[in-house]
Amino acid sequence: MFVSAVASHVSKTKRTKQRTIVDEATRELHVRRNLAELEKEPSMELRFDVAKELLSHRSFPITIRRILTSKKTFVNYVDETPDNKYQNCVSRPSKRAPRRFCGVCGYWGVYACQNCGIGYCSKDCETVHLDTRCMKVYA
Amino acid sequence: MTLPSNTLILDNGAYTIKAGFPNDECLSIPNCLCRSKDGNRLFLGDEISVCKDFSSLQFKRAHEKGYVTNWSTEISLWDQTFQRLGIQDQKMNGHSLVLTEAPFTMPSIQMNTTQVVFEEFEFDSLFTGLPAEFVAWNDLRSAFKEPKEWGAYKDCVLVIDSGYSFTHIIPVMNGIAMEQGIRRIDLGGRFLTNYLKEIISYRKFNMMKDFYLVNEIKEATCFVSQNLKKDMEMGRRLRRNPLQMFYALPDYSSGRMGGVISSTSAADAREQQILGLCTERFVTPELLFSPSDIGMHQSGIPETVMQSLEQFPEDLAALFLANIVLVGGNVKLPGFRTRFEAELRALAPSTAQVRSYLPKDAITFAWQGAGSMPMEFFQLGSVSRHEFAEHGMNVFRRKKMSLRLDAHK
Repeated sequence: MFVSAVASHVSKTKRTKQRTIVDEATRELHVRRNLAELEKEPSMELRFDVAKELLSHRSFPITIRRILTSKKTFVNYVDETPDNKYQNCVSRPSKRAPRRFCGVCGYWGVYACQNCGIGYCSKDCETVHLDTRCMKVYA
Repeated sequence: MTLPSNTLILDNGAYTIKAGFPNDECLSIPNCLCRSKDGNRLFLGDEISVCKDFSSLQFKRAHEKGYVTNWSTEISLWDQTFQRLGIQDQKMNGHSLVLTEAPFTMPSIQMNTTQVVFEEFEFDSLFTGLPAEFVAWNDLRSAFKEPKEWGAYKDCVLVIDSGYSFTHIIPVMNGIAMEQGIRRIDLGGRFLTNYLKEIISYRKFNMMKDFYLVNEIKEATCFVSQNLKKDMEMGRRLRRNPLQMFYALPDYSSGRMGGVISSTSAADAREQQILGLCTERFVTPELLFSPSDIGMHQSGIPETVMQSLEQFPEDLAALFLANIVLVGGNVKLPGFRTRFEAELRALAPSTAQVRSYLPKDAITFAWQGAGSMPMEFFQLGSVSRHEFAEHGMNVFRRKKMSLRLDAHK
């Protein structure tokens, strides 16, 4: 029986798994998480310190010892500052519309993935995206 | 009159420490502790030069987001710096320190820094300032080719400091930063390298653990595009692509160094892995001009400059626009200055002149400026150990205020 190209395409999409469309808020959350990941200092979470011998010849007064053993992180320092100058001096969002690039090859991202919102430029890039990255990052 | 010769100038950056005595050579030491992949070898600061295997090198910095939080690492790095400068003693009695700090450093961090400087290292006096405040003391008149008769125009400088941790736009007047105009973009060399690392790992080879190598690749291949549309189209060409660059990856086991190669055939013969880069070369630095590309709700550098200048009256803003200085590691990317001027020219009012200067050595420019600081300014603003012991942290604020008032004389 003759099956037209269009009909076979339609039946193919019916066979693929249910597409879950992620809402705007989750996409924003994911973008922010990705930005935090990019901002991170590489291997900052690993615990290693200078060899003890390098500092052993110094006898630290009590104030310095307190500074050296304090476990305060940067966020702690920011939180305990009374004024908001550090937070307020950040640049405002741009007036220009954000551009979208293809997540696979880097060309202009004219189309957007239905599920996760990442741009892609052509059918080939869409296939690669669906195979590798789509929805896996939300896991 | 210039600074006394026993004054130590220390530009405490998150990527490198630039240190030295005035009118001397500037010493650059990587401001981190590195550990090799297997965890056996530790490299402090410039010991990294003897390292042969950079794969999966782990970093530990004293700085967190541009501010010093880990003092044990920093004290050992400062020890190494002072040793390299020829100072054998642990205590620095008889020396004064000129130290840089990031804008809006938290008071508790400032307290920690001051305590380490005075109580541990025992410097005689301390002068803190932003790197941008020191930039203004350089000989900018010859940089902008102004005739001497025009007077002290250079009292107004807009400094764009784009470094490892972030980018700041800082208007400086008479050597003091104008706080209301300081703006920050949370994009720095580290972010760009991480971004490049991510796209290379997705499209070519997995380099997620090789920050050091991707940093080298970024510095060797990236450039700022003047016309993104044109470069994107050119970058898509399959044959004879003028933007394509090949980077031969180093082979640490055999000791072969990596580098940019002109043709792939020679490297194939040597069986080196080749990384082909095209659009990645200019899309990475494009983030500095358009952070919204990656979803960041901040503006690019030219737009942020205009945001910063909104705080000032029109004629002052026009003065700043005519005296822009670009410093920091990221401004060394090829094409940065031209692109920056072009974009800013489009945003700035038509009556204002947009003029920027990119120094030959953008990384040590702030250090050089600190060395040219006039003696009166230094004496008025530096805090001695005795004064700190008597009055505490308040004395720093008082000295800064007196500098601001005195500058208008």
